[in-house]
Amino acid sequence: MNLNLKAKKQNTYDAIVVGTGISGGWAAKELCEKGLKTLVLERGRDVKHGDYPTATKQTWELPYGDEVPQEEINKHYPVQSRTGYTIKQSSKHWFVKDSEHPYTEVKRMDWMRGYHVGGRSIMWGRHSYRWSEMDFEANAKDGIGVDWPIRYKDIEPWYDYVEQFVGIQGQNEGLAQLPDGKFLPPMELNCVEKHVKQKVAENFGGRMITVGRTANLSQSHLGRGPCQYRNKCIRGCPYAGYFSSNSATLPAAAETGNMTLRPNSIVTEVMYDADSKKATGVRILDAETREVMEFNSRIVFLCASAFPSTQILMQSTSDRFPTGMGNDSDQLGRNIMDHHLAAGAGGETDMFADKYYSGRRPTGVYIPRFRNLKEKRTDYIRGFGYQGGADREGWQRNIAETAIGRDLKENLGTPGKWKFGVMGFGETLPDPTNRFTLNNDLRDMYGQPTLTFDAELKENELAMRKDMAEAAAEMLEAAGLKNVNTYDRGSYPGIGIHEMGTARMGRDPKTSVLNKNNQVHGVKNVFVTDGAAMTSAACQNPSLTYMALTARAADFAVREINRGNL
Amino acid sequence: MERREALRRTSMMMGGVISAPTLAALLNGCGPSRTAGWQPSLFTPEQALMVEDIADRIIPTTDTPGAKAAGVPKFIESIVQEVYLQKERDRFLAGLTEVNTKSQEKFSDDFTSLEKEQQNEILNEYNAGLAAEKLPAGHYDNTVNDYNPSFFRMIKELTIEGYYESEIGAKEELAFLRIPGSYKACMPLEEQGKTWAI
Repeated sequence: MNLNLKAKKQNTYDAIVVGTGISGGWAAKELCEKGLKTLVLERGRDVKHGDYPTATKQTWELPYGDEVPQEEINKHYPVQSRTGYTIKQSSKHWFVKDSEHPYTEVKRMDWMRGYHVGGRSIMWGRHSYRWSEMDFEANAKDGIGVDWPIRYKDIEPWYDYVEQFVGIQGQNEGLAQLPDGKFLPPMELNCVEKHVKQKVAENFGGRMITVGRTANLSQSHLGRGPCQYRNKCIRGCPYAGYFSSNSATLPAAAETGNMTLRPNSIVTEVMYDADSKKATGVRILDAETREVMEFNSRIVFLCASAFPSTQILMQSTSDRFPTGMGNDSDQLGRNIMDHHLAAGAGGETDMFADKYYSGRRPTGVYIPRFRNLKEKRTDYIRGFGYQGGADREGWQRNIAETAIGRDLKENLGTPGKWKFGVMGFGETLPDPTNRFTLNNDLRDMYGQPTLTFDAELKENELAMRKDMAEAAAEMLEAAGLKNVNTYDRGSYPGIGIHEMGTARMGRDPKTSVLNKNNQVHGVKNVFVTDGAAMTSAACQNPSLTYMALTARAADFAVREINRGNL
Repeated sequence: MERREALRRTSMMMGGVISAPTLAALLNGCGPSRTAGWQPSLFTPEQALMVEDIADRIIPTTDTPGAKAAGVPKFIESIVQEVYLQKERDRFLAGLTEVNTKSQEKFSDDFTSLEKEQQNEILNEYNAGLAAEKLPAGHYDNTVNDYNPSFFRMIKELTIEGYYESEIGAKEELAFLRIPGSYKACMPLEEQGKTWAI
């Protein structure tokens, strides 16, 4: 009896955070800094900042020139390789083996995952944009999905707050659809990008080109960075030149002395107490020992990324919640959103042939949304932004045409033509039929249920894609670029690696899973602050919004604890 | 000279059983006496020599080292052996056989016995055919199952990739900065002149 009490006490914390990616890192930092003894659970292995095995390797120091044997890809990474750029010798260790973590595709779903401390904050694209008032109002105005329970003013101070810690280089442009932020000095556009920027501004009112706002440190920031312009971010940065949980939030959490970080801890469910109508903690499976353990806490933050956080809720069944915790609305697992991409245009120019650049800038240009702001289109609603940039062709060019021998060396050894290209990132609408369900028949390597996906791009996204390509081409042509080509290389849900919406926030427990403070309807001490919470997808990269929502919810949770409400 | 003498002596010791053409080949430094610069693990010695010759014709030594000096042939073997699927491996090896057949038809000799100019003549024919080669339209995930590049496209791509991503290619042929430390957005090309290594 005494032993049991002692064990229970040892396993009891003020707060439990599930996941260590962008959202979990922020939850850990905020809760620890506010004095809560916090258990941070990560299903994968530990990764300390600096523990990036390929970060400083050159291509010739990697096996097979950084390529992964095709048989290994087919066997272990058939899904993770769908990006075309992630399964390399230099980065494959950040991605799960599909052979160990299978799922079922009724319709194709490109689900990219990294199970380790830091999660995808190590490999993320780092683009960081605020959402605007029109994004928070959009569902209500269009009668799509449910209304966001918050507006821009609710999240604005939290954007300010997280940006100042993260360190984001960018340029304030005073746009209603892409609010200004607290930025580090912007990285510079190269000469062709500046040229296209000027021509677009001259020819298209309301369209503009700015530097891609990324969490790369253009100057030293809070003891991190600065960026060394190696552009090997995906491998992890030994200089902490960009923001990750490993380099920034988790060290801050550890600094407080309040964090217990437990890797190899697969959370299988949130435990519910019917009397108090609150969660008591979580149950985990130790990935190494396969031991089942329970941890207790006053509050639980689910930050495992959209689908896993939702899966944990689905697995948390009780008499009160027979189909999953917080699922009174039947919206758990529904409304899968992402950003559809890979449609755009490219062109080239003979101008600036005497100009080049030095250093590998880890960002490019961003063209903020310009569709359906004031003038409304009839073929689709919402909009898209573009990412892209200009560079000179390197040695990879014209492999078919290049003469062999001495000519080849002379040709490829000097920079080729300037090329400029942009690719759209389009908003996806929430649709309850785009969903996943738990699959108890197919189990992963730990014997846990897997997911079955049934989601697709719908009419609005498909109509938007045509315009994504055409509107890009008309800008490039107006800028005087030659050989302008449009493309649409296809897009399936997941490939934006911005999964959202499967436990959405809303005003009404009948139609949403979370309230305006990211609390699960009906279980007020459980918070979900990752992509699952998103009510709509906007077209901006979402990580910054997860960070702001997380910091906001953590602040609320601690105030509620102090008021005696949690 | 020493090798020549040694061969003559061997020949005499063996009672002149080596036929005259073979002896000529040996003396010219061709045929079995010439071996590739690495110990092949997939290729036969003859295939290894062919790959080495082809790679070095595609990227020869000029005022900077060429493909062979940069270790590209061994890199090519490692890709063909370990990275390629069996069907690609088969196509690559069949391609080598085809090159040798062409060599026999055209010059009545093995490819590796040809003069550099003769080798170039054969390879230039292949190279001229590349532009007309139909490649499937790109999909974002690069999972293009019907992508069957010709042998010469394979070896040309592997040579270029292997060379410019080698230490010699990056540091001696291209401009290389391990840690740039800064970004200059727009500078005169002449300050630098060469293509940046990745």
